[in-house]
Amino acid sequence: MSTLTDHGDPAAGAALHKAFPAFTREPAVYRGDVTVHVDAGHELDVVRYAKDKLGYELFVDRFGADRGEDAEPRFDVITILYNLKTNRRLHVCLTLPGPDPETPTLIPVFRGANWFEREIYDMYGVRFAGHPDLRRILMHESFTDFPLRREYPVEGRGANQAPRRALGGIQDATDGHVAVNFLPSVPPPAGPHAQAGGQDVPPVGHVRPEGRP
Amino acid sequence: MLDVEIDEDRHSEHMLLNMGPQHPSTHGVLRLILELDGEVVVKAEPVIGYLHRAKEKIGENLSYHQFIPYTDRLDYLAPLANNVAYAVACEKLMGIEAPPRANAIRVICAELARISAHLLGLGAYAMDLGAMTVFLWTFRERESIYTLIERICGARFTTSHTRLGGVARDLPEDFLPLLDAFVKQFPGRCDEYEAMLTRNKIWVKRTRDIGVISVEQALAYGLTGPNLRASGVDYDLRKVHPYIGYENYEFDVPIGSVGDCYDRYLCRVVEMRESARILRQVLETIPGGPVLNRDERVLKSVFPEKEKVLTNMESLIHQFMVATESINAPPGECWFSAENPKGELGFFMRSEGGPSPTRMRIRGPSFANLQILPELLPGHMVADVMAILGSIDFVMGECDR
Amino acid sequence: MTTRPAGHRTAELMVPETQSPTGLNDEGGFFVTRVDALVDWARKNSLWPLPLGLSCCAIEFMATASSKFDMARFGAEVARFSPRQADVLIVAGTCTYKMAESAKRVFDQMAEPKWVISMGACASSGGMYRCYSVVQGIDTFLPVDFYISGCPPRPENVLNTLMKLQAKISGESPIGELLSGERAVVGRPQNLREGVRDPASGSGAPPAEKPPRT
Repeated sequence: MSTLTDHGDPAAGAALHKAFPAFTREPAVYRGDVTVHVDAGHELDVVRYAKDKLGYELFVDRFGADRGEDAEPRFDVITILYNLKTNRRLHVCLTLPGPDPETPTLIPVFRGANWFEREIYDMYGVRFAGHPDLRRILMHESFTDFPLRREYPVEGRGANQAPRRALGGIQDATDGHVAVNFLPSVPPPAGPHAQAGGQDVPPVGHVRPEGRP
Repeated sequence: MLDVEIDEDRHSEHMLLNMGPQHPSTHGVLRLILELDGEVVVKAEPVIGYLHRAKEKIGENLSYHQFIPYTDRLDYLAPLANNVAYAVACEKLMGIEAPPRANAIRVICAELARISAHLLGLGAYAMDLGAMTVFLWTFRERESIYTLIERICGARFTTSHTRLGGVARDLPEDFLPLLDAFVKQFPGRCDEYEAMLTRNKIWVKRTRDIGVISVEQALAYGLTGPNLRASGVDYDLRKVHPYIGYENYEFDVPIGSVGDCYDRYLCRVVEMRESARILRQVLETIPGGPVLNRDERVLKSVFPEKEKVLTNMESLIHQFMVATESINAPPGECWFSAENPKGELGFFMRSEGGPSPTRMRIRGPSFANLQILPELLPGHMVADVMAILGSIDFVMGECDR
Repeated sequence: MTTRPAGHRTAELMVPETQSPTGLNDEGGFFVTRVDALVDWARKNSLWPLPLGLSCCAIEFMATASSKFDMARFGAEVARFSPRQADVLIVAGTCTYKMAESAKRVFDQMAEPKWVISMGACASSGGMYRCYSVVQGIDTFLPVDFYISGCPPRPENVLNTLMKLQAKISGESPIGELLSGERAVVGRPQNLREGVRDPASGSGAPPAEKPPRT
């Protein structure tokens, strides 16, 4: 386990915070991963400093996250960099308010941010000012929603909606609930419609798994 | 849409060639829009997303265990490697550790997956450049590996073998001799492939000094895996951040010098040999013990033993609860990445204390590897495009997720 | 191969009776049926597949084509990636909405006679991906002759389906149809969904039972 939790360098996070005290917060460390939170508008300088001065030259990842419709600020854009000399990783987390978040592109610092930012735009709707070609990358161009936003259902909406039953559209009585038979000694009912037949079947509980939307 | 924007700057004598998304050499559903001046590529634009299966969204709606089969289909040439990476990522998030035997089994799984993925990459690459024989030979080896994997977990291909806290079941008794037999004959097979290709004039002419990636380009685009190492950067996650016990095994990591297609090919062949070397060491040192972490502290997080489930009521309910309601991870977010055959497969999971992560990010190495194509392809000829695509060895499953 | 429970549409799984639609089986039909048999024999033993290798099933398709399982013994070794030169479109893998346009185009470009095999769970019904980007079954836009279940299907399963397709082809009578003028579209089972399924309404109308193809 120790080798899993020593991937970050708190000293580098502290150095970054010291260089930009007004725009960053104290580095957060969880399970060894060091995250520096940045305010909107200053991500470019912070990342450039990390790359040029602190040696975080390998661009690993850049992705968005959504804290939910009610959270404020709502969106995160997290960039992960790696220092090949010290073998340490750094997360830079930019927080953006919804519903139309915008931030400058990271391409001047890392060319590889191009497609990653297109994906963040495609999935979350975050616009990147200065991006040479900001259009959808994973979804087809005529798609209008931002799928990874928390309020978008996984099965889609409208024309893209995957129906509950793919074959013939038979109405399913479960509808998101899991039919549970709590008494294993009694055989479960024959089907969702069996109860309507008035058979002497014990009541079937419905469990909605917790935490499920 | 299949239409392409009219670019006013384009010379009228340039030809627009559309490769894919249905094309034998694009290794899946990649579309390349090439602008050609005769035979020479002037501009290349890859279009991806033809295999976007919403894995990240699905991951946010399923429990940690339920997501394991989806990880098989990320890099579908090496399903076991993805299983291992995901399981370790979840364990990091939850603070669980797997027992040593489970880790050794995971190393076997990961290295078999690496050999299998490189074999297919090599076979398809050679087939694209005309060497059909190598494809059939590598598939012969892959069938042997499939037989081994089937002995481990029951499925040839989409394995779903790891669990949080270990692996699903222990190795069968006759497995280790079979693995031993495979490992003994494998270096000889590698020699056969190298005899066909490494000093083959046609192969060398088609891959040497083609698709040279400089260190600066590789770092800027986030290339990882053999693509990065062929350019001369010593970065292998098994060495710098050992996981599942890689620090216990001795192996070398091939580093290239030029960064061309030939170097990438050589890196992969040597990596296969090194994987066989690791497997030999695992065979000698595999410890006994449980294969799933059943510590009291984490007992409520993992499945109980199957025998108990079938005979004991509490275990049955426990199994049911874990399977349907899942484990609640502690709130927090973390990142874990593993050295997959294609590069660095990363998982970022943010948990708010529930049974599913609220953000499941999958960093597919092929997404970053493919991004270099618009910068790499111009200046090469159309035939070189196949050589470069094959040498980058991407997989659309983990690119589009 | 998948058998569907009652209430769902039934695909043509078994070989239809070997009767030519023109009823020319008796006197006068002998020559035609012999030529039919020859044409069917030639077609079924030289089925050139077009592997529309979309995702993981493509790997199992490649395994089927390699030496251990060897599709070449069925005459189907020549995988032609050009639709003009292929007979069977094997959709192997998950079809997304973005890809569906290309898949349909590839199918349209194929020359008659053509057949479609939907390989794997994702192609047959969307598989494990009930999400916003995956087509829930290619039979929403392509007429499918055979579905292969599995995720991915084992190579033996693929070969079994190929043999079933061969059996189906040997029951066709292309020359008979040509002569009789009833130019039925060869290899086109009536299992396309009835109407457009309206996802917003929650349940589509179940397709009407179609008469079996003769």
